[in-house]
Amino acid sequence: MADDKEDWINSVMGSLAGSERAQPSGKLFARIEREIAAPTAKVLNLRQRWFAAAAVGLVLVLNAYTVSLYLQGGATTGTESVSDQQTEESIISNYRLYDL
Amino acid sequence: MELIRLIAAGDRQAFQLLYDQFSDRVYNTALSYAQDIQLAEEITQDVFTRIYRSAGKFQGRSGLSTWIYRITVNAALDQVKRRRKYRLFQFGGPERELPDFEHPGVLLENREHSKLLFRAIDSLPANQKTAFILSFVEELPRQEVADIMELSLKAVESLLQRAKKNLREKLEKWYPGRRN
Repeated sequence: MADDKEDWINSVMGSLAGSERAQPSGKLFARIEREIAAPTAKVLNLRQRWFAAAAVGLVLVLNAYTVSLYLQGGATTGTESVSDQQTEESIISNYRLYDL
Repeated sequence: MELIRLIAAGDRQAFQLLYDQFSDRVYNTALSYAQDIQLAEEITQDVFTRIYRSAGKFQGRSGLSTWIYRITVNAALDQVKRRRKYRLFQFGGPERELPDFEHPGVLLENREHSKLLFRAIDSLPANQKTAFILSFVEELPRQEVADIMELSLKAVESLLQRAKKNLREKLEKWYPGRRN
C-alpha cells in the first residue's frame, strides 16, 4: 500500500519527462513589434512627483489666501471708514460741489 | 553581446533573431508559472518588450541567457501576483482554484499526472517554485539556476530539497487510494 503511494507520487513527479516545449502563437512577435513601436508615456520618478505635488499645493494655498483676502475686503463694503468720509467732504468743499 | 548591442542601436532584424532563439524558452518558463496560455503569451510579450527597451543597459556581467531568464522569472512572478490580487478582489474571499492546467507539450499518457504536478507547483512559495521550474521543468544546470536567482549553489540545492518535500506532501494528500 505504502509502495503504491510512493510509486504514484514518483510517477506524478516524473510526469514531465519526455515533454516537448510548447510554442507561442505565430502572431506574438507582431504584437511585440507593435508594442515597442508605440510611444511610451514618460513616467515621473518619486522626486519629480513630490515637486509636482508641492507645486499644486502651493497654487492651492495661494488661491485660498487670495480668496480669503477678497472675502475680507467684501465684508467692509457698505460701511465707509472715517477717512473715506473726510476725503469726500474735502472734495465737496474744495470744488464747491452741489453749490448751484 | 553583439546581438544585444545591435538591438540597443534599434536593429529590428537582430531583435527578431533574439526572439527566434529565446522565445520558446521564455514562453515555456512563463507557462510553468502562469499555467494559462494567454497569460503566458502576455508575459512573453512583456519580457521581450523589456529586453528591447533595456538592451542598452545590458553590461554582459552575466550571460545573455541568464539575463533573459532573470527578466522572465521577474515578469512571470509579477503577473502571477497581479492575477492573484485581482482574483482575490473579484471574488472577495479565499482564492478560487485555477482550472487544472494541461501543458500542451506533455506526453498524452502523462497528462493527468502532469495536471496534478502543476497544481502542486502552483502552491509553492515563489523561491521554491522558481528553483523547481528552472531545474526540473526547464532542465537548466544548477549553477545557471543559481546565477539566474542570484543565489549560491547551496541555497538553490536547499530550495530544491524543500520544494520537492512540499510537492510530495501535497501529492500525498491527493493520492487517489488515500483513505479519508
